Amino acid sequence: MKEKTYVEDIDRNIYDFKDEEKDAYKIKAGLTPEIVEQLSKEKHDPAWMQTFRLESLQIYNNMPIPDWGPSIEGLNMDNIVTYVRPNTKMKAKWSDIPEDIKNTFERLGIPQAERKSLAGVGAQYDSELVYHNVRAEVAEKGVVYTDMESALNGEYADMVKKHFMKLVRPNDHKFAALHGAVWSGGSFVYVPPGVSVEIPLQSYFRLNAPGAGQFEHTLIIVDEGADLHFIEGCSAPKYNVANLHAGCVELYVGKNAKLRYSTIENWSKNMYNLNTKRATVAEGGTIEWVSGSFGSHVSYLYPMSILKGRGAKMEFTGVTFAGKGQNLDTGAKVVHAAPDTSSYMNTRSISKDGGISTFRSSVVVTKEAEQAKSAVSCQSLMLDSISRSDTIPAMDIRTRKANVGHEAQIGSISDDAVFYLMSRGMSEEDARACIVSGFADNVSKELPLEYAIEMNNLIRLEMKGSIG
Amino acid sequence: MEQRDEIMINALPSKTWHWLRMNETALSWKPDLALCQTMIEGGKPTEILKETAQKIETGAGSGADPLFRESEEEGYGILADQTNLGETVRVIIGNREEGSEGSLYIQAEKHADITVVETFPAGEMPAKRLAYRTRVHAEAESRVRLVQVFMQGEGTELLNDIGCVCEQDAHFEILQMVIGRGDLYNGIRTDLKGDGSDVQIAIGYLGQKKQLLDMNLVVNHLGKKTNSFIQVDGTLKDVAQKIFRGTIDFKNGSSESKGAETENVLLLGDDVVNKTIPVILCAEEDVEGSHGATIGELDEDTLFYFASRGICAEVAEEIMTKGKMEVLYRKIQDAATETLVEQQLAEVMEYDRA
Repeated sequence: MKEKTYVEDIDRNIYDFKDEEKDAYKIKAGLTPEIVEQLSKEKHDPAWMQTFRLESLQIYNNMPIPDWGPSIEGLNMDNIVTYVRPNTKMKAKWSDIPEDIKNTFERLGIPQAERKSLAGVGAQYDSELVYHNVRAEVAEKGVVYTDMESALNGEYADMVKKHFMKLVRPNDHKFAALHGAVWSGGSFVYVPPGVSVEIPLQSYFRLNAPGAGQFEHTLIIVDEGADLHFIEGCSAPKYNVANLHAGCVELYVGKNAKLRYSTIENWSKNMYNLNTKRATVAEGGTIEWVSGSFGSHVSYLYPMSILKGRGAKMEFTGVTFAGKGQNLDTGAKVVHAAPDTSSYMNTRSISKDGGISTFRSSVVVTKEAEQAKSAVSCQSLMLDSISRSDTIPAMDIRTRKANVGHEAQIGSISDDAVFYLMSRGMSEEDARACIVSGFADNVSKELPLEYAIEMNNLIRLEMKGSIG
Repeated sequence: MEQRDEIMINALPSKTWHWLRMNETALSWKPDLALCQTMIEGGKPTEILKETAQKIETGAGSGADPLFRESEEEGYGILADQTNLGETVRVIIGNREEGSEGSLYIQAEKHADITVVETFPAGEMPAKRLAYRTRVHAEAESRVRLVQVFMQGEGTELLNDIGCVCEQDAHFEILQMVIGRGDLYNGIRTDLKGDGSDVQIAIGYLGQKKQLLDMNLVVNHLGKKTNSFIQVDGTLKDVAQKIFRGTIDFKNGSSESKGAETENVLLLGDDVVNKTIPVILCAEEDVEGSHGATIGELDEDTLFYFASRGICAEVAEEIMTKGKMEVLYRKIQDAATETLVEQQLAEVMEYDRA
């Protein structure tokens, strides 16, 4: 009898460790105006932000839960703690951070990565940043990389107020409203005109508290002609209660500027990941998204790009791996709102062991976007018949002067490809392993080497079993 | 004031973002429609087995059921069996009232082979609204071809709703020519229930002026080794609007099945709206599903080719529009219908220039 080739689950042991809870402050579970007011007070918000939070809460309460995606029935906001402040203030030296928290980030390899290959690091633990640092030579160029709270209350307050949740408005969807009400932590980045940050900045988000939510806000402004690569990583230990991540990322890419935003998302399997990411791109600017979605129980994640200026470009490269107990609904959205804009989406998804992966996308080309070009390519690999893989791509084209193409494929491992590799001396098992590993190459080759290795370790596509 | 009920039709089997307005279509039609005129040439009439017919789900969906109250009781039935192998049955669906409806049930017995050509002419007294439902039960190893020619007049609305169940090794083929001047809501659902069954759907359309074309195609692969192929080719001009929903759904157990859909849209109007959502749902490992879409105006190479032969862009566009349709209507395999389509196409293309 032919034994099925077995593809291992992602090895999550390196992420699945817990610190004892020694929080300085934990707000009570649930979501009420009183809780939001209390949170705002704890964070020393300016008055406008407190009003903004309360208005967002009202919007949240009036909006329906999405009826088109994975079920989030297991998420009860009454049980979610929206603010957990760790037992430390933000530091600029790892040695100043409490031992347990520092150990957590060391096990995740963040300080090592900072030394080797990053221009700056922000590390968030539950609801607040515990570490933030940027290399002196980068800061000297005028690059601002700080936590959101410092930016909100410091010299960049006006800039934050001007941009905060203007791209993702609270009435965009229910969880954007939730974010508006209870956001905490995250990073603010400003790259001045013409400055090229040659090595990446990274923010890492770690959620340690069981039953908690993480709602970090990332605001990045890359000014005219500037260039930045920003990396975002996230993980959490697994608990038997639901955790929630409803972060928000707003990216402003200026004229002829370029921003690459890379994410390796590896939340634990009790996590509801309802994240919102959006970029607006001015004339001649470029936004590149590189996205690996591996963790979470449920994900709703579709980075959106608004190509507002003539000649603006967007590229989205993504891989999603859905294993047992996971329902990962991922993809991307793009709006071509100016002439000569172009977009390219290239995604891969793998489903196994009962996992569900859905690729969902939208390409909107407005009447103004003459000579717009868009191409979407999505490929899905099904590794067994108890899993699911769906593709739901939508296109809305409103000008004749556009060129839009779309292709999608769903299938299993090709016998022809296995035969080809075997004819070159590989065993069948190795051939299948090679094909499955190579399937995610679109993302790994777009990441800096260290992160590509991490991603490959993460996937750990080990093939077992005799081939019959 | 006329009382209207809103019904939801052409729903995607798997929803997406509501802001795209693609999940379904709301129709404000008065449900109490009169029976339409139906002329059937050829074929063996049969009594409709309601239990069988009503189990066949359609592309427009159960939301459209209230529109078919009359014809559920008094619809027509055609039987294909060993005695009329290869027969072509012609059905002309005419209008009678402000709003009309009708339905046809095609029962193809084992090994039967039938072609049914349904024509929707403009008519002298066009109904504002016409709803027509065709249900097909293709038994084992039968072959059913359904050709539909839509020629409805300007200002009219037509809901065309098809449902088909294919048993083992049954073959179902649909060829639609959308060459009318009115709006069309088009739902097609095929359940490939039997192993080895297959469906081929080819649609050619020309949308112009203020026309609306709203399509929902669903193929459910239930049996093993089932095949589906959907090809939709069309041209949009002026301020025409089109939405194409195409879903290939590989259900668990449909191993070794294949499904493919392609869509090519030629955009020739500055104010056209083209919406496309080609969906593949997959709960089976050993299947192959694919879809591809190209949307846009004629590319520079094609225009250059025509220009090098002294043909201007406007004429080139006309040639390409006509060519796309001609490739399809040559497959009708019924000389009278092909001629009818050719004439109608020439007329509507002339109408566009008017």
